[in-house]
Amino acid sequence: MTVKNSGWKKTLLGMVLSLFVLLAFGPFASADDPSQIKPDGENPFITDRAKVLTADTSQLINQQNQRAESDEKQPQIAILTVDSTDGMSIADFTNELTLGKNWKVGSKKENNGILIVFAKNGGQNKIRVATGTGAEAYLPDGKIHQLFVKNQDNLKSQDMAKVDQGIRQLIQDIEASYNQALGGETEKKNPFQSAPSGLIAFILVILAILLVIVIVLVLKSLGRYQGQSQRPGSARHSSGASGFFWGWLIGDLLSSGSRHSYYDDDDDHFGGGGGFGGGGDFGGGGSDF
Amino acid sequence: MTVINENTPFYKKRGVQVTAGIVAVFLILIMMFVSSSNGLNKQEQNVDAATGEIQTALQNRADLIPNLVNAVKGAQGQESAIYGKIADARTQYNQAKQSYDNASSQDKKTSAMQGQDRAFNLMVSTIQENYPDLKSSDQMGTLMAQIEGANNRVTYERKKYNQAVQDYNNKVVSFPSSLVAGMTGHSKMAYYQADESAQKNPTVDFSK
Repeated sequence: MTVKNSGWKKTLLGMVLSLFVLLAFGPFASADDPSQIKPDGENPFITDRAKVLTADTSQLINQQNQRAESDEKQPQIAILTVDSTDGMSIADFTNELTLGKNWKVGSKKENNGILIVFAKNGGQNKIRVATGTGAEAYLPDGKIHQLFVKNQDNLKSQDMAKVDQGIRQLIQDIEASYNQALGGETEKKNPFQSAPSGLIAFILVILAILLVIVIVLVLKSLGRYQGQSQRPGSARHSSGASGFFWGWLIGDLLSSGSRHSYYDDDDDHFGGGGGFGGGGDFGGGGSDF
Repeated sequence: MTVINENTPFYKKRGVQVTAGIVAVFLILIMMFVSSSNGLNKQEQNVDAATGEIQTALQNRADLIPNLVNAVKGAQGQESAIYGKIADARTQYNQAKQSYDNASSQDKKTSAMQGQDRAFNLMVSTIQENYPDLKSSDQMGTLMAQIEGANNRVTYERKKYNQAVQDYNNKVVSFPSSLVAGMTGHSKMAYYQADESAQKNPTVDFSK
């Protein structure tokens, strides 16, 4: 007797419908929602959404980051320009960026990243320089303010060419001030850096799965060896339960160990080398104008 | 042909298998309990660490007040009443700090920190109200930037703290870790609310 199973069609329809609903009414994050903004794919250090920067400014930033590649004491500099912060103060906007996981600028060891955020905000030209906790000592808030004041005519101009010039000069001033404070301190980067935590976790998971497979196979073979004479069904039963237990045990121990909160995730967005250094601790430092 | 009382291996005896099954279930339950409990404790540690960060930020910010007081000393007609008010607010701050140091629970710590926040804002608004004509000289601009920077650090650490508290509270209320939370004495923690008076005076602007 065949049982007509049209149930699977209903299930499939249900899945398609729910998928459609999810996609159609998914979260409407605006393009300028800081938690959604990701660094530019080609060059994470320069995300020029407001199309303000010129090649000269880009070159300046790239040069600094090359220096930072070989010397840990040199700060990585990244810049983000947006048209609008959607009503948020530029400080809150930058806070949200640095609290997320996409903007881990600066060496992981030194936490000396510098993130510059510029927002047109309808002509207000708000600009903020956020300093990592390791950069604060060399570039305190008061100093940043003075540099803003020095460049304010260009920065607050409605002529974008002047703004670009202002930003370029600001970066030069920042570098000069920072290097003066450093006083010649350098720290050559160790090429054999420890593997990112994500990689280690991945390897552990693979090993754990192999371990589970080995245990299950061993138990199965034990069962098969001893269960050949009588009641093979119950022997299969007990080894199945053991396999389930071990699989569950290892899976749960691993999962509770690697639970990250949203603000805690320290994965380097670009897998190291050529991307941000992973220095995530900005601590809300910096100043805006 | 069935043979009665045939020698069955130990592990195949029905009684042994049932017992093994019960023990396995027991072990699973214990494992789940332990992992939930560890998760709760770990989250509690995160909250603890975040509290320390806020306290540091609060203290660094409060340390700027003497600079502010010195900056206004040279300005028009020092009324001793103003300094009296500032001194009172300073006392309030120190009392709140004392409460924090003596706090026996997380919620007591949070409310002590809120007290520190209020006292700081009182100091700043006292100065702001009484020196409205203070011109923004270069020195004042720099000091203003420092105070705003300090304010932002407190805001930042508070956000991190509230996120840690949220993660902890989620664990405390969701099943099945809620059962474990009840058994191990973990209860929901309070969030660190921003001081309302700070929202009325968002920036220290002496040019206004």
